[in-house]
Amino acid sequence: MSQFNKIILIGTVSSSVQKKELSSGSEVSTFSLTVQRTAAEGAVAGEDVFSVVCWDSVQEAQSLVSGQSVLVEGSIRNRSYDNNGGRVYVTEIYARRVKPFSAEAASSATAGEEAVIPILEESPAAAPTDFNEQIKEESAGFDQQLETEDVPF
Amino acid sequence: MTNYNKVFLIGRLTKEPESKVTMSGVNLSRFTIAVNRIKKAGEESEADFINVVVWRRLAEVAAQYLKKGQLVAIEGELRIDKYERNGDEREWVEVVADNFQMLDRVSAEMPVGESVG
Repeated sequence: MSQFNKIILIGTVSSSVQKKELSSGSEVSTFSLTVQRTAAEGAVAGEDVFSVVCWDSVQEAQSLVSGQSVLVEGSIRNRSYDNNGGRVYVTEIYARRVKPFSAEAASSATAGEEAVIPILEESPAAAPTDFNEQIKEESAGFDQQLETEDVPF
Repeated sequence: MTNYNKVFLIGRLTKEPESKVTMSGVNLSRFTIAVNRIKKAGEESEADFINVVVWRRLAEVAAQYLKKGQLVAIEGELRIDKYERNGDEREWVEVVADNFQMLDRVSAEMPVGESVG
């Protein structure tokens, strides 16, 4: 039967990562993820706080810190447990993939793009910086291969 | 800061949708869908019951065409609203759907729960 359950969230980690070992031996990490609502017309803007559960296969979850911006892909799960005689129902996100964004990661990605563009557009020899010299050395084999081939553009 | 919240679900309605009009005259319709979990061999089949709300024109369509047992695809945003009742803090979790599509037809001639000969 065709059934499908997928959720994609981008938000801010709003708790520390709690690690817990299950009786089966596998470890789960849980953290809170705060996602701001988009203020649609007439709607009150607010935020939603989701509890995200990661099995040990999702290793990125181990190194998350509070305040970090993160993408979570997974599914919605309901679960209930007894609490002082009352039944408590919780909705959690079982993460299949966690991808942290951080300021450092963003800046290094930009630097990477800048380094790549000169190589493709012109000869690396024209770029005088040490950084580009290094790239030239590393990509020397790549350049030679390009010259011998009939590149159509 | 980027924020993003998108949900895709396919499941069956557990009951008829409940429709109403807010005090400001806006249509809304609420229903619950059962979404089966991916089953491993030998496991019993389990499902998550997820509340869905649709507004305005979609609410009219839901009220008119959605029936118990119907398979629907839903696209929306997951929301958790906190409220207090008798001193306890509780949560109301629902998907605010901005789109849905019926994947099969449960016609009036074939009521759910009755075998059709």
